[in-house]
Amino acid sequence: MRSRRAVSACLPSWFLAVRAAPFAPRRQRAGGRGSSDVGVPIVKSVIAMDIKAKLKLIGLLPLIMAVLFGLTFYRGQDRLDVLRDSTLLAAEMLDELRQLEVLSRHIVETRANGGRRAGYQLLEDLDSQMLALQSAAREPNLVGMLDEMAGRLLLTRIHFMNLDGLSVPALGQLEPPPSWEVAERLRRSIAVLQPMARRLFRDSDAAALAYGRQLWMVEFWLLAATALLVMLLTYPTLRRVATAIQSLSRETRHVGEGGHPRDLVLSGEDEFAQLARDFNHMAHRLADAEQARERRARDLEEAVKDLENFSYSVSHDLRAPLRAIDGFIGILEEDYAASLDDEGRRLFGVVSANAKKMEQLIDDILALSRAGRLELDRIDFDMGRLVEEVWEDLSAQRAGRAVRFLCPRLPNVACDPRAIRQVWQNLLANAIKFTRGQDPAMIEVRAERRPGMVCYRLSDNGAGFDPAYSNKLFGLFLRLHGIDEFEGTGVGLAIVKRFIDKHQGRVEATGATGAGATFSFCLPTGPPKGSEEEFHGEQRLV
Amino acid sequence: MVSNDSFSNDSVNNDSVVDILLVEDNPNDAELAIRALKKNNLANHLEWVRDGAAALDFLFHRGARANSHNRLPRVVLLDLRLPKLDGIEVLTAIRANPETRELPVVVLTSSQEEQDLVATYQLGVNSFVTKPVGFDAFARTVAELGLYWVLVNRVPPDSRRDQ
Repeated sequence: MRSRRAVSACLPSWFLAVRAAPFAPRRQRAGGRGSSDVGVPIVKSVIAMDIKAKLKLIGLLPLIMAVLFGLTFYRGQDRLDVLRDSTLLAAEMLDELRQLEVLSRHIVETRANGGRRAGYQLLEDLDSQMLALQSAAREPNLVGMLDEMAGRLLLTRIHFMNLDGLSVPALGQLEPPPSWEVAERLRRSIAVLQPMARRLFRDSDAAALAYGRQLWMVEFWLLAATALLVMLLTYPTLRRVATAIQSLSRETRHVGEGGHPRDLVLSGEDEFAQLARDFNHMAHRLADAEQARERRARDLEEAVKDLENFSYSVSHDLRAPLRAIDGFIGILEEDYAASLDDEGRRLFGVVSANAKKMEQLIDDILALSRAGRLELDRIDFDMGRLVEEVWEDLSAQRAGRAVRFLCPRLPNVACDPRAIRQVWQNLLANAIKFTRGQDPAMIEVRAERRPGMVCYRLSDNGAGFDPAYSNKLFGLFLRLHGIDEFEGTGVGLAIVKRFIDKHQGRVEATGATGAGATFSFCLPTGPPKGSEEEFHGEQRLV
Repeated sequence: MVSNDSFSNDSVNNDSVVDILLVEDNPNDAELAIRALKKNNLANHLEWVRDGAAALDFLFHRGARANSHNRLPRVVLLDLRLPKLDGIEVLTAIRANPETRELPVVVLTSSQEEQDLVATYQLGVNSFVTKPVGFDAFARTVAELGLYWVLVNRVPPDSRRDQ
């Protein structure tokens, strides 16, 4: 019993600490002016809590209540035990008093010595029980009664001692009262004690019962209050969570559907309100980004349109002055030939040649621009026949020359015939041009299938090029030969490269000065895959 | 030497027979073309207008040409880039009108754009010729065009409206 109290005695320090929060609403319910002044801010602060804190509180409340329940139950049980002990003690005392009465009658009747010891033992027991009861007693009524009982018990002991006649040595000199009288006194004092002990038993029993009932009542209210508090906290929180999630999901769906984000409105200061604000922020940023993207796309479209207009203008407007220059020079030469000397005619010839060169440049630039804009249309066609056609078209450029042209059967590959025709045209025209000094000129076309692609190769025995500058071959306006050596604008191979790039193919050239050149281009078979990506990357390095 | 003025609208008799209607805004190009035609004796019945609106005025007898009674020309040499109405619009108007639907129209332009080729052929152009830059080539091309369309080509009898 003492150890249990020791345990409960060391609890209150934190017990007091935790009871402040859960008891606050109860204090508010108590309704005093002072208590509501304290309660309202607490309620307000609970309402203002964010969801996480509320959920924590909801989780913590039953825990606190369980501790409180355990504590009250423990302490109540303690008290109940005391009360039950008291009942037991009272019952024992009643029994012992009856035994003492029987014993005293026996002593008077028999004068036997044997009962005396038992009598003192009973009195000792009674004393110790009385002490226990007194130490456990709390109520003033009970304490008073116990004090009285203790007094009576002392009297009873004196009477018993009298009866025993041993405790008072001087008794022998006096007229000893007759033993029946002493016994009668003892009997009377026991008779007084007995109803008191009975009452003590009844009271203790009733108190134990009542206390037990009260204890259960307290526990019940504690549980009920916990349940109520949890419900009070849980319901609005759950409702908030449910409605917030519902409205968030509904509104986010709307944002996904339409271009213009509608602001989510969630009142309050908790996580959901923050989420809604963050979401609005995000949606606005997304909308801004989308607008910026659209603006850029529009700009790009305009730029493309501008470029198209530009190339249209170039093709149309830049040619007219050239035509005028060459045309009026021509008129001058025709109509005033008589008044021109050789130098005059030579100078007009220079002007005229430059006008034509300018036209060639414009044509080439436009061809390059068209090559960039061409939307590829990959189809299967007879590559060998295409090469033959291109070769025939170029007959004017090799007129009067001995050119040996070798072209075996060529494998086909799906590609854009317009683009590839231009590629062959530029490569073959180059080959014809750069073999000008050879007799006979040799031009050979070959092809081979490689994994994932078909490679075509065009070799000639012409002027070749210095391999040190092979990286400049495919650059725009870059030429490796003097303009007086071989004419050209340096656009042809740039167009070749652009078309092959557009096919995700690769193009390369090998050669040596005076030892001919070999141009090869590879076109991927089937849709572009990883391996062709690799080639794409490679040709960027060229 | 041919001067611009001798081929201006005012100098041409309103009721004369016109074989070639040249629609060209660039006077240099026009002069070169007329010179080439003249060398082949084809410029005698030539009308030169400088924009699309004037071309339609001439063909439909309206505006400044409301009082003229020309027959339809044998051929219209039409540039594409023109002030007011461009060549495409002129061609559209010519093909939309039942009286001029069968009128031979040759586009003579600097343009090498595929889009122009496609558009004019879709509108029913009779020929599409790119002006060469070189003097000789230009003179030859224009002369060949004139010879072909004025002397060689035949048109349905009722397509040339007799007044």
